[in-house]
Amino acid sequence: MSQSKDKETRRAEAQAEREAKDRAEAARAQRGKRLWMLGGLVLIAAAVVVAIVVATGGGEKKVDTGKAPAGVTDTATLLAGIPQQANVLGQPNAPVTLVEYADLKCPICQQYSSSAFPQLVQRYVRTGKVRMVFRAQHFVGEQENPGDSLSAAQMALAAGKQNKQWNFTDLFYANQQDETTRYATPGFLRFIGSGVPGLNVDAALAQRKSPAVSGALARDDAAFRAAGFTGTPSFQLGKRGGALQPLNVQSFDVASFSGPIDQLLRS
Amino acid sequence: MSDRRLRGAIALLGLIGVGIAGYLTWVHYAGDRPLCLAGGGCEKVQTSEWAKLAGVPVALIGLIGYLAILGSLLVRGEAGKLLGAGLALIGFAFSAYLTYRELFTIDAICQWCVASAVVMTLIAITAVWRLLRIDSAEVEAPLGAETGGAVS
Repeated sequence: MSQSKDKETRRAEAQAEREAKDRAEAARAQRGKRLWMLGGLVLIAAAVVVAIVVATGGGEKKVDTGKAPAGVTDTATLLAGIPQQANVLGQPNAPVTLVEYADLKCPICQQYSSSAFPQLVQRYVRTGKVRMVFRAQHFVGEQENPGDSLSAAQMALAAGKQNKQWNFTDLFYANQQDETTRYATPGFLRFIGSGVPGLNVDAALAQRKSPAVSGALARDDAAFRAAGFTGTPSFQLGKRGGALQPLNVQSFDVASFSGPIDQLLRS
Repeated sequence: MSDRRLRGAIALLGLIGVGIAGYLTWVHYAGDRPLCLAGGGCEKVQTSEWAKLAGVPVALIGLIGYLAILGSLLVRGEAGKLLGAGLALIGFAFSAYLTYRELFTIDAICQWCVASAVVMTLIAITAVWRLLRIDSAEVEAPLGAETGGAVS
């Protein structure tokens, strides 16, 4: 009796052992299969990301300088018929002045240029209520590519000598490149200039290192420092003949500018 | 750790990711500057060339990715685990690429992007853990009846 019970227990134990062994083996096999799957997933993930990056050019905008710059018509339409005098856009006797300190290689300045700027021009500059003043800065990407931002600023001021500075800057922003690369080469500046109607590009290129341009740039730098600004874009707003006050905007929607401008126009 | 807990952890991390990517997507389309706790890195990164891929904001791509990972949790069995791990690994690789761009090309750090990269890394680790973890119910399958792969 007890012998048969022992036999039964041993059989049960052996079966349990066998089952545990089978389970362990199945688990091992399953884990091996999953590891292969994981390897496959890693390869797929790497391939997907590489494909995305390559297909989109790694986010970099490529400019074909053989074609016309982007936004030529938009810029020409936006600024057509508005008076320009050097770095001033709008009627000289407009009741309010908006000063913009900007770097042509600054992507945030580009954001302003493509968002609030066109609406402000239509609403306030074209109607003679606001005159805009551009004060060129040149420090973005200077560590990596010394002189590149300066080169862009010089060309903008040189275009200003032909009263085309606002066309040049707006078009430059529309074709702005990666700020960490050197791209404001004479070829690129000529490319942008070619999209500005009435601009003598050769003359502007020749003038960009003239004492007149250097002087204007020095004045813009001094005004920037005097205002206590440290970054671009920075803005000042004031009534004609009155003191300019810093305008701190939280976003580049037109309301951030129209509120203070309307207030000044009413006062 | 049970599969149920791992799924819960991925769901929680996924929701945090949706919050971060959703905020950055909203900021992008509203034309606002992202709230940055220190420095101006967020704005620099958000307005850089690498903030968009083929015209699509990377914040929106991230939002879609997090939602897809959350969606994968609804798929039961091995297929769900495989899908979740695959999406998380793609998200991790993409985050790694963007972090590389921040550090070595844009030269600025966006705290929201770093937070998203950390969340995506944790999701990838958890999803891989979940994929490699073998349930006792799953090893019963080869021995006897099909479990249908429903594990919790």
